Amino acid sequence: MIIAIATKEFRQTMRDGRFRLAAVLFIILTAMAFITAALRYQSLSLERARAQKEVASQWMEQGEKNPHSAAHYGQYAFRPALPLAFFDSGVQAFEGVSIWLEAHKRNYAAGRPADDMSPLARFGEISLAYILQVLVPLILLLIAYPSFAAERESGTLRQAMASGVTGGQLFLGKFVGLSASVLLLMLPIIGISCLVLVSTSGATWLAHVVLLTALYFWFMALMLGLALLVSAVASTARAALLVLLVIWALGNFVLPRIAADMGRLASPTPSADALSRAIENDLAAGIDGETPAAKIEKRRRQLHALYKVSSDAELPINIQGVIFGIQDEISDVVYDRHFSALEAAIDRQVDIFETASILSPRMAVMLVSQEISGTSIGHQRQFADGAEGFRRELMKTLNHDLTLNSRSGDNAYRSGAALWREAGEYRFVPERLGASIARCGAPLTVLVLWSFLIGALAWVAARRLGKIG
Amino acid sequence: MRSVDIFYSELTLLHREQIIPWVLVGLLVAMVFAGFSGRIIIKEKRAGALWASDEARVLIESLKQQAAAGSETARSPGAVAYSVLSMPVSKAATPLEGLAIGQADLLPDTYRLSARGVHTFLEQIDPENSLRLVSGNFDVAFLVVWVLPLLAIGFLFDVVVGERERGVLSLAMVAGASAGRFIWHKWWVRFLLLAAVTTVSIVIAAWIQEPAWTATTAYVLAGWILTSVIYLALWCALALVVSTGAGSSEAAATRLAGAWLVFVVLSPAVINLIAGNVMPSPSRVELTATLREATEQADKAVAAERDRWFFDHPDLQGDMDRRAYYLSVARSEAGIEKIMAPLLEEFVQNARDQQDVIELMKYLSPGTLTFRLLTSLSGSDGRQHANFRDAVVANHRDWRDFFVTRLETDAPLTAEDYDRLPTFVAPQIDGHQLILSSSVPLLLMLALTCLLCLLGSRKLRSTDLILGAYSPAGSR
Repeated sequence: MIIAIATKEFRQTMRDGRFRLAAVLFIILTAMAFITAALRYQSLSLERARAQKEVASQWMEQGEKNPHSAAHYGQYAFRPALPLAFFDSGVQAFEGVSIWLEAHKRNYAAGRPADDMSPLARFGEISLAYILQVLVPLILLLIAYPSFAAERESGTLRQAMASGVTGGQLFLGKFVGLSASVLLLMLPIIGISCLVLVSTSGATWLAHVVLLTALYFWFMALMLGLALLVSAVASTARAALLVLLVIWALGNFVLPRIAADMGRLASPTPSADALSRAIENDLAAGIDGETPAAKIEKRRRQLHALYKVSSDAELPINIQGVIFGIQDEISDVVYDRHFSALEAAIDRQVDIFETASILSPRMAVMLVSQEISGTSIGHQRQFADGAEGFRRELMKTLNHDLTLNSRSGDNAYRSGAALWREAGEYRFVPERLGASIARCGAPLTVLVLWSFLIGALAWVAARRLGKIG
Repeated sequence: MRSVDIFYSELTLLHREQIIPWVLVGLLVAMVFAGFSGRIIIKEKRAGALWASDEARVLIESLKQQAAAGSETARSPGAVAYSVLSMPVSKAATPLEGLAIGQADLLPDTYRLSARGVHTFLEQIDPENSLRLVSGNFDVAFLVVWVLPLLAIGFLFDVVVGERERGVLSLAMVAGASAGRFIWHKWWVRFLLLAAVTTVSIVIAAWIQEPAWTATTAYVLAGWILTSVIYLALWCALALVVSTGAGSSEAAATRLAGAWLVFVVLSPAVINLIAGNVMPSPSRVELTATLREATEQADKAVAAERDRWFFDHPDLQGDMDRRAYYLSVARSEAGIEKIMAPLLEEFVQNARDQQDVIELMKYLSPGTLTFRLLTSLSGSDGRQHANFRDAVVANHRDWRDFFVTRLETDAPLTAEDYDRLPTFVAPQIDGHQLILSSSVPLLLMLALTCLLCLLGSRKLRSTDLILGAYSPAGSR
């Protein structure tokens, strides 16, 4: 019986003018988003790889230099464009793509693509993820809203019930039939995406694609369940349509903005200027109640005592290298303190966003999708933290070379290619899928809760439908 | 039946539909919250700018006193320009910026300029939660552009078709009223109710911003109200036309929801896509690589002398020649800027070109047009920032020249010099000019609204004829 209902529902949907119109719109938008994203990904990917190679060769070929001059020259880390960014660009447009790794200073990622976007960019950008998160649910709602309500109004629901069909069978049948129509719409996108991905990156990202596919099917099932549920309990098709449109608009456009704004109000982030002034003040004050000058003086005395000498010139090492090391130790602690506070403020904002996703499953899906696609805040942080770890090692290597291979006051000391090679270059390795999924606890819980809620309410609604007969 | 009676009975009906007063109160509360939220964002930015400016003033005063007392650092143009003093310069406050955040939370409105190259401070970005930036702002402009049309649709999608389905139109004609007149009264009541709540909400949200109540503020506020009400009228008129022609309430609602999706959600995104592809931005990644190359070239030229000071540690060199060090810094910075300035200009030019494309294409969607108008009125559409940026670059030249001239001529800074530091004058918003530039798009939107109303009227007249032919009044 369920199969018969599903087949009838599927055929009816295929004949529905609204579905055909929506399908055409969907195909046009998807093709547009796909082509633009694929081209952009290809050019970004090549450009960043080329830039990384270029700055690496600049580093290697900088010639002979004082190691500390090389430290100020530094290196650059470019965030590579990950393959799934073409599907869900996540927060990448609003995060910098390159970090200057220089002496004494932890820099933010600079070169935010959003700074060069048109002023309408904040209005919305069409990506494949946006189509699946926002537009496909709308198509679903528009197809499913009259399922029960219109049949109730026309009296055909009572007839169906009188023929011995149970409410559960009818609900499930319609659910399966409509799901099949949506599957038909989505499968080509998934298929083409997989092909493109495998042809460009091999099988590395296949597990991510499988998970993304499962996530979006889950989300579509949720949205379809919700639409059928509302249709089953609404007194008229008009009421069902209005309620579903309000839920869609609130969940997609209003709630994410309110949640984001509430987060900012509850946990504001400092301006770049205020942050850099606070860091400068802390650097000048030093750590553990000891000024940098006092710390340097203390270390100097210790070195003099160790080597049993009375002046820097008599030391067998270069005191300047030690001083740079102390300055880095201090700046590392100060930068860690301020960057941790900044990240904590942003984390509190994200927590509020995650909590608000209880009211909108789309927000939860958005967070999980970004994590799986490697375009979330977490991935940006992994890139930045990795670059910072490398910067510290790089500075240590250069300071050690200066300290151990020259004498205090020896301004003529130069290092060359061997040291630059030893220092190496930063290579970003994307984290494993498991680590990304581990950050999805809250949004996945929200999706599970929504599934149970819709399932339970659908069961109740289906039983009520049974009573009509 | 008199017009007043129809108005009164319509108001009573709306009052009885319990959800309507709640929706209107909801709109008011949402607008107030949005105004409050925008106010906090802008206030934080202003407070930061004020704090930075006060701090710089105190530092300048202290340097002035030290210069008078003969302090070597305060009298050294190089040390002051490259190591001690940087000057925060801020964008002029626009009266109702908090109503439309636009680009304001993305583009910094304070730069800390120094004698170093413009690339050292123009690329500065405020650390932000990127998830918040992706989600967008819940500001009054969002409510007007996105939510107001939905309310107009909710209020009016069945204004004709619903009455026809319920048989009210026939009944009204039995009572001697024209269907057209009856519908128009209903339309006006609903439109005026929404327009009144929108106007009151905008005024309250504007009042929350605590602006200085000048003529400019009045112009901007008037522009806001006019734009919002005309945009609302456009959607109400479209709802009337669709409702007149639709076969059922659901069909009307579906078509209007589709129109909203196309004009408010998809069109701006498509325009954005086109603007981005027609005028693609120069590559920031390549800019970084070029900066790197420029730095290397500039540093190589002065490398030998910079190595004397471990690149930037003249403090570690006991017998240092301070002037020689800062002259090498000035040469290095000048070399880098020479290469970087034209590249940065490419980005500025690209932003201008993109603005031009959008200016042309904004007429494709009333949503885009209204968004542009509102952000332009609030000074957050990017153009105000571009003017500010140009002024900063010009001021930076004066600032750098002020110090470098003294450094090159070996003229120590005096206490009086600190009074002669180049000052920054931020470009101001011209409310009158804003209204003038908004008038053409507003008139176009108004004309479109009138056209839709005319179309609705014609359709209603034919409804009158059809219903009149079958009503008892018609048969008489």
